[in-house]
Amino acid sequence: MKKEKRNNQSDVIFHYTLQEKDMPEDERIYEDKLVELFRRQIINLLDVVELSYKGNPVNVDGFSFLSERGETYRLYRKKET
Amino acid sequence: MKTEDRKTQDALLKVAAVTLATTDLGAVIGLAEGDEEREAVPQYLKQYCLSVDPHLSKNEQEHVRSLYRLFKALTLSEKDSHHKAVRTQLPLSKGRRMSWLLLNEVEESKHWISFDGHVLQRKDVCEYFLKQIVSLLDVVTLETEKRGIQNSFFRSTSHTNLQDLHSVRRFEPRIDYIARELKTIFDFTHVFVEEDEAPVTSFALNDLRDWLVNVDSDPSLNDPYTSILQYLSWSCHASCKFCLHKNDPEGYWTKSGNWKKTMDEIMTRLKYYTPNKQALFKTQDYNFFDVLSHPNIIEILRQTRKKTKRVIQFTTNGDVLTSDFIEDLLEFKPLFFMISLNSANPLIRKQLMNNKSPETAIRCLPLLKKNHIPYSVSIVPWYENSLDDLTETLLYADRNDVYLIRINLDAYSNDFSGENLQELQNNRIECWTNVIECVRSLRKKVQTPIIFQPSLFEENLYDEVGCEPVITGVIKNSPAQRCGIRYGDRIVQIDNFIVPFKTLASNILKAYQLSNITEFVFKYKRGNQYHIVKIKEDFTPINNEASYPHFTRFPDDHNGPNPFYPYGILLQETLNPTYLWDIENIIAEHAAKNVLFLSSFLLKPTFSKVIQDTGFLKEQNVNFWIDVPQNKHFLGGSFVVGDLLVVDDFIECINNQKRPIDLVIIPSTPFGRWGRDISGKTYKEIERETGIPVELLGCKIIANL
Repeated sequence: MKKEKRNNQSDVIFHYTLQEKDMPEDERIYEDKLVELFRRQIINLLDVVELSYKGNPVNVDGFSFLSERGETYRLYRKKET
Repeated sequence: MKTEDRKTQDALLKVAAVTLATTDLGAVIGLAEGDEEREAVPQYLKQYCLSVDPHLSKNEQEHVRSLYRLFKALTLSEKDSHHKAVRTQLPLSKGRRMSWLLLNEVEESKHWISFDGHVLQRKDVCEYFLKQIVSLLDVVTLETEKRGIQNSFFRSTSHTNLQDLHSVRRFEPRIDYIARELKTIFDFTHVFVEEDEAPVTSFALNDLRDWLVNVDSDPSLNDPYTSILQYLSWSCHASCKFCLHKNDPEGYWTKSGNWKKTMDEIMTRLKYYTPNKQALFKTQDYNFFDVLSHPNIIEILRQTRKKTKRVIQFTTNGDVLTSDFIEDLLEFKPLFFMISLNSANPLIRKQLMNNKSPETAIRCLPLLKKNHIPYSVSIVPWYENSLDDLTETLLYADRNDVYLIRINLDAYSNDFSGENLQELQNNRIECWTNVIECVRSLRKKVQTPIIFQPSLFEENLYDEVGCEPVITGVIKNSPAQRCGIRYGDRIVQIDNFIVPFKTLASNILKAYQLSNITEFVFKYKRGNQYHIVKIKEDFTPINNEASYPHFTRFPDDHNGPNPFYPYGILLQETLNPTYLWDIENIIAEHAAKNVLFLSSFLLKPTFSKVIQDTGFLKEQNVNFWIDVPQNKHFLGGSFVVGDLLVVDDFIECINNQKRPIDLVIIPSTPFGRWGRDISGKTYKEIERETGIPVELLGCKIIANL
């Protein structure tokens, strides 16, 4: 399916690089690549949205895969006490 | 209209304006003793309640109260329905609906995406990746440096005119989110075109209409300067000794490698600017250099004027404001200039600013006056300059009917290129104090209002802390000045309402101006004497010799925020005491017992005094501490303005606490509407790093013209 991507060809194109020097390196806390992938994605998302349930904000600090509900992964590094 | 009808309409307008002014405070302030709403106000805020003139008859008082209640009900219901409308208009993801169609397109084409062996075994994860990419393709186009690729979702690019990703983080973090998502996905996957790998190196926004921002959510975008003209920032003719940006690291609030914008971008921003409605997201808070030096400034102004008649306010060093150039600008009125004057002595100005023609800016003051263009001047009291030069400069500006003089108390980041950084930082308070003392003695000799930036330093120094509605200055030839109102007078009453604090007084006067109220009774106190005057404003255009430099309103300004001072009265903004109620509610929601409030060097004295005066939280079993983070992790140096603190400054301050804390409250002003500090970091990192719940207290920025 084709769709018109830009409103007007005269618009300047807003390009953004993915090789930005200043793009902070994400800190790794799990060895499992997939766990790490989803952890990073959820954090990225939580930096721009607030999750809610029935209109009330929900605080999230971990996740588990639907296939392995017993295993919870932390979103953030454990605080040193 | 009959006189009686007009009087009734006028009375209604006034009460409506006062109602708007109070509801805009963010907390409901009750009206009078016995009033139901007032009963709900906590005891510690009772002294800040608006009240009706007790000298009115009982019937008149009740009439005013009924009108007030009626308008409040209307205003609140309108606000509520507005919020509901905003909520229901939240954009739905088009990508979700499109995903499977596009997914098929991807699979059928010669372009395919491979995952490493580990992932390939997980079909659900493969699909997850594909869906994500396909959703993103609804909003962006992927780009590669590999040549010869051009289709609807992937194309070759030469990487010219890239936008700054770090500067967009603060203002439109969803673009940063997309960048991170793509980076994460392509860390795990590879894109192939006809068997050859084509690494994705950048992306482009598909449709800029997706990225328009409603001016209701960011009112600054209603200003054509913020939305369009600031991006004309061009090479500066000067090289000021105190320049903040000379040695700044790239990025964020400072200039970056891509600070010079193309004409195509300016024209695109202009195209999407719809006054009172929407504009393209911004990528900077202010221009870094002088926009009037831009070679296309006249053309862009012409195009801008086709869109709006709003006042355009320029900040400039004045080096291009020759007689001819000012003539050229006249067709674009209404204009307002903030001129970085610094010294009225050409030799000193040249030494300080290292510019070629220091006389031009000095001479432009009488030229602007002659052409009825209002202007302010700013002065940085550089330590090498004498107080005599400061005095001469202030007197020169006053003689030329400047609207306002702003003295910028200089501060320097850790990256400041000057040789005397340490000395400047060590002697900062002493230098500022000397300058303020000099100016305070001059205020009695000049008519022009003189304000400091940051203003709270003066209040703190002279023990003037608090929220009393004391007038900071009065604009020359304004209605307030014609009534004899002066700097230092304390506002007592506006029409039938007794006004107990500064923010409320300021809100009422602005609401009056926005409602075109042309005449009202104003009671003020000077020393021990009370005075009652009638302030009259006719809202005529500004081309009136007798009213210069005061102006009432420029055309088309009534829907946007008016940055100027109503009726010529300057009320330097300060703490709004109704924030205490918000703080109490936040504490109650968390059932917190040990609360840390992070304030700023400048605001803490006022905040502490208000807490002491009101007895805030005295009856609750809550420990409430106020601390001030140091500006270390981004700008550093001698900055003391709280709004320039960053997430890491807050984290360090919290981690240094020796007491148990179960809630941290921070004013929202260091963070933009997306909760990002000036370095682009989200405030949520504070909670993640410290493990302590963090709440932002919704506040308005304390700023002045």
